[in-house]
Amino acid sequence: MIKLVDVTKSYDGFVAVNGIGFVVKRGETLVLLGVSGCGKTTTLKMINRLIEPDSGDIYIDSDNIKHVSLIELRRNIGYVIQDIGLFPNMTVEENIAVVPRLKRWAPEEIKRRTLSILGMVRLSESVLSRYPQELSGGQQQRVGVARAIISEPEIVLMDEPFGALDPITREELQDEFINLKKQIKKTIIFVTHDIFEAFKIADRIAIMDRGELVQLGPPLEIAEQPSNEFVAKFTGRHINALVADLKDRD
Amino acid sequence: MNVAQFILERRAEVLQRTVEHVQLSGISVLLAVCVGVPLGIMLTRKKGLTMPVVGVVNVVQTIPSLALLGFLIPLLGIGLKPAILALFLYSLLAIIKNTIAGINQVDRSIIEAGMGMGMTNLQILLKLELPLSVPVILSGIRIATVTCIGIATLCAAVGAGGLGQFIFRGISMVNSNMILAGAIPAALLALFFDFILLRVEKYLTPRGVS
Ligand SMILES: Nc1ncnc2c1ncn2[C@@H]1O[C@H](COP(=O)(O)OP(=O)(O)O)[C@@H](O)[C@H]1O
Ligand SMILES: [Mg+2]
Repeated sequence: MIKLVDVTKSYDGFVAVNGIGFVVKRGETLVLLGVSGCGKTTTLKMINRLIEPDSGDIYIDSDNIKHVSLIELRRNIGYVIQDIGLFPNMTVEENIAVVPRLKRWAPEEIKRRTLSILGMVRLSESVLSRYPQELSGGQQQRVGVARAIISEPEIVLMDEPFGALDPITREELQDEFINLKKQIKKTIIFVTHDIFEAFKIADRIAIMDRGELVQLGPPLEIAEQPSNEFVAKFTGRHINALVADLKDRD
Repeated sequence: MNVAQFILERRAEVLQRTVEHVQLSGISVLLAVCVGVPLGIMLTRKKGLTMPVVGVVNVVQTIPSLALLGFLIPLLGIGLKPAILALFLYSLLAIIKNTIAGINQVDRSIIEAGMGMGMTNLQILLKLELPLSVPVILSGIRIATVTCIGIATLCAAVGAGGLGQFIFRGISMVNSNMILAGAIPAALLALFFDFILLRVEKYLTPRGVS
């Protein structure tokens, strides 16, 4: 479980995140949705403390993350970013093994987990000895996902992970993600500005606007009962397509 | 008598001066690497200090070499000391600048991913920043070495030996063979080290880093 309580962050007087609070339940996928610049990344990075909030508190289970060792906190949270950020000087295998090595797992255990994780992200074993630059964008982000979940963190933070991919690959990875999240049952916060992506993968959606949380609820509720003008406009243009899609799914 | 014969006749001394020359340049560059690389790394951490430090090193670079050697004589006497200090100072700029440039060109998202995965600052430096900046740092060392081998010919003026001996003697005797006996080996040395260090650069650059 992740809980944010009245979290605020400004950059030189500009309030990027303003008194945000929400709870992400264990095993749920919460999507942070909003237009570019509304404070999604800032919110996410405060959870693994790449950014420190000015005020407010963040809890993981019952622990205030301020009081958890920074390195421990991060090693126990998977993190996937839009720019992928694979280490170009390491092979795919080494990239995937980064966190297990930091955690001093035995090499045989790392190898075993690596092979099983490859299947989950639908990569073949032959990529292990390759370097990131020798892979396609879709393959690279599959490695990015594998790297984030190999050590079985309870929590995974994903910041527009499919944002840089072409539409076809993006859809492929979204579909795989839906399967994957059912398998691994992690608590996931997934950031996107793509409303279709949000409705497709979310258990619940948190909509942000100019640093504030404007509505939080299941996709259907967001679509059918927008809490204000902004949400109505944001979802409005696509509303029919979205609702049809959702009803289709059940 | 042509140059080749001239050099062949004095091969013992040419060899000795070449060895001195390599030692002089080598020690200076090595010292500059030991100081410049850590200093460069530190400056990427304390960005406020970059301007002043690089500024000072830049100014030193603009002092004409012969003048710098002259200034150092009253402080350090003649011989190896002023020569090494001067060459050290000239090598420093390329090494510091390239270390900073090398580390700064590492993609921000790579560092952020490393931090997000719980790497310590030292791990980020050793496993990401340094390996990824190897080509740039080494090319700084290569530039410094080649420059140093050239400037080291002036060090004969303060009694530090090296191939400059021939050049200064040749100038005072108006003997161009004598000048060339210093200049040709010095040029060859520069080319040789340029080539070797380029090889080292290629060899040490991690695969996957273009
Ligand atoms: N380091 C920073 N310094 C100044 N402003 C920043 C910084 N990071 C983000 N911002 C600003 O804060 C706002 C929110 O940014 P961000 O959280 O990255 O938004 P999002 O991820 O929703 O696009 C934006 O207006 C952005 O320009
Ligand atoms: Mg963002």
